[in-house]
Amino acid sequence: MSARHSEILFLICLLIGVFVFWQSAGSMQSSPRYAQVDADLWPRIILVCLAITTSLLLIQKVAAAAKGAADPALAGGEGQGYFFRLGLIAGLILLYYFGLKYVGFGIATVAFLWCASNVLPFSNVWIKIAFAPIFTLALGLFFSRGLSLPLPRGQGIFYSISTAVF
Amino acid sequence: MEGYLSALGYLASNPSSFLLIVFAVIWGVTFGAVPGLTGIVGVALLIPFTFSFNPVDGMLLLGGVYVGATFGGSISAILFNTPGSPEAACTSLDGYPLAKSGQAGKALGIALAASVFGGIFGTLVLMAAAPFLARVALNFGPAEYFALAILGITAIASIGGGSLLKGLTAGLLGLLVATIGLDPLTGAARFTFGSMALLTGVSFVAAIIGIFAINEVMQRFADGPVKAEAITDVRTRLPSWAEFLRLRVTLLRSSVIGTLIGILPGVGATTAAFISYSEAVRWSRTPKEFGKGSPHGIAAPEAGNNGAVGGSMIPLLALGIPGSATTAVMIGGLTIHGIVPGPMLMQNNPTLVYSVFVGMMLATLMMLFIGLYAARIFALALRAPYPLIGPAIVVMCMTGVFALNSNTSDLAVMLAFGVLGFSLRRFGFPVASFIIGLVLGPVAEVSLRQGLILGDYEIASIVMRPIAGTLLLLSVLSLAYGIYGKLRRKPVGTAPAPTSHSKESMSG
Repeated sequence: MSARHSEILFLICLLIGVFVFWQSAGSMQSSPRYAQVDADLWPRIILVCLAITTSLLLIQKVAAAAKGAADPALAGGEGQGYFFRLGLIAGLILLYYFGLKYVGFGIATVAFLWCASNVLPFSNVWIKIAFAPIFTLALGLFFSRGLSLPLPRGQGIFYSISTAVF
Repeated sequence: MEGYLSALGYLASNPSSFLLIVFAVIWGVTFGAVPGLTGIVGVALLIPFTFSFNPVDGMLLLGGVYVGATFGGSISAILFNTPGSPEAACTSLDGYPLAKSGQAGKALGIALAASVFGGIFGTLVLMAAAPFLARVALNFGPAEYFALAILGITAIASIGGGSLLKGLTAGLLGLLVATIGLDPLTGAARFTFGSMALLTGVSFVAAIIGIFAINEVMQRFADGPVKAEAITDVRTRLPSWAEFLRLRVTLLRSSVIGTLIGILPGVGATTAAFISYSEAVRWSRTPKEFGKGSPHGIAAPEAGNNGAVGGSMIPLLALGIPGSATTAVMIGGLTIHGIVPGPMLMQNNPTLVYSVFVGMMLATLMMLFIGLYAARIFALALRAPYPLIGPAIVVMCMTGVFALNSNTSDLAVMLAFGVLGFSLRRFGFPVASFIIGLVLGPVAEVSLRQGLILGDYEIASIVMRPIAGTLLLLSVLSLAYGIYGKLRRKPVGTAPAPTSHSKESMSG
């Protein structure tokens, strides 16, 4: 999909989002006391303006796409493997989020750092191997012991392990 | 004058107070620079330690942290596009592009000089006119707050070198996102879609870290190894006298704006930074330079947010009303010692008040030296290869955001905003407009509705008030000027082919 088409898709999603939010504004709990300045007043003003600007942008982009004109503001000409690397790092970050939630800080962080350090080329394997546990331990101790701040501890057995370490 | 002499006498006879200030500034800079930790956490963590000090030393400690943290956020904002604190979010917009162009030292130097300038200005105002200004600030009602927010929001039309429609759309999107959560007036749930986590609204810290840091890491990894964009010059270089003079109007205007906004209860340094930035764009002869590494785009938010530090201490010490979230936490530090801040504080405890004044001035001056070295230490991380440092930034952001509320739903918000920030950047929507909407939206909404209630639902009751009317008129004029400027600058002919740098610039 070209940058132009993905932008049009983004604008259509935005318009759908505006419609969904408008519907949601209609079902908000109303307050007789504040009837003239109720909870939906300000969001509706914004949604109307947003619908107008998004529609105008969509018309502009569709017209330009029909003419086949290039848009210098758009990203394009990505290097080889751009979307692969993007998908990989986004997937790893998402997995890390679930890892923090269910497995806890220590194990999830070491695993994430090891995996993510392989997305871009870096030849020194020993530094890659050593960095993850050292950084995790240093950050974990700084937060838990130095600042007495909470760290994600995971669930079940992982909770017990995390509590014992940090 | 007696008060200042007494304060100076106290500080001269207690050299340990100087050490406390130095420690506080270092602590503050560290907390400001680490994403998610913020100055509020830095102050809150030290409050129990103030037990072991006398009230004057305790307040010097907390004041020093506040001063240091406000600058500290700019270090990570400039070097990693990861604002360490909300008030530094605006500094990323121009600081990071300038750093990427090989002038990280210059960007850090401008941020430091502007922070010190704004800090000194705010503290001088605090020293000279605290009680008077605190009473003036109380005359600000909902109508004036609304007009002030609208003045900031209308700058959306001037920001971003690209499409006017995209700027407006991004700003409106920010305003819309700011409405998520419980309605502040009626308590009705808005756009939560059944999620309990969204009832408290979108965490601003999580949102800005997602928009800047997660977005940046994703972009850098997707781009692959791009050595040309590596930040190499990391020695903080203060601006030369000539460079400083070129920034003088921006510095002065932003310091005044920051101090005045700081005085207003409940607004704070983040709003001050964004309004200062908006006004810098509005009054600039070269608004297209903003978002591409303009020195004015770094100086304005830094002078503004540091000006707000001194400003926000004015209602705290003179009236007992916190001017910002951090000063609200500082009230805890005072009450621990049985001191009630308010109009009688200056009469009952002049040594404390004047020592805080002098201490904050010293902390601001010390920041000049500590800031020079702190940036170098943080910049050491830049020598590490990005395949290691990029994931480490993600880990620090996740850990810092989690620590704020011990809540993984804040992490989900951060990731969602990372994707949103990436999309905005990819399609050329200015991130600055989005953030301005996010920051000023709640102030504008609540004050509009309160103003309408107080004025029997007549919009004229807001418009006809002298201060509010003047600010609104300025907003309309500047919006019209911004739109006129955009239309006049409309590109003619064929535009150059896009590069990764131009894409960056467009994104804000």
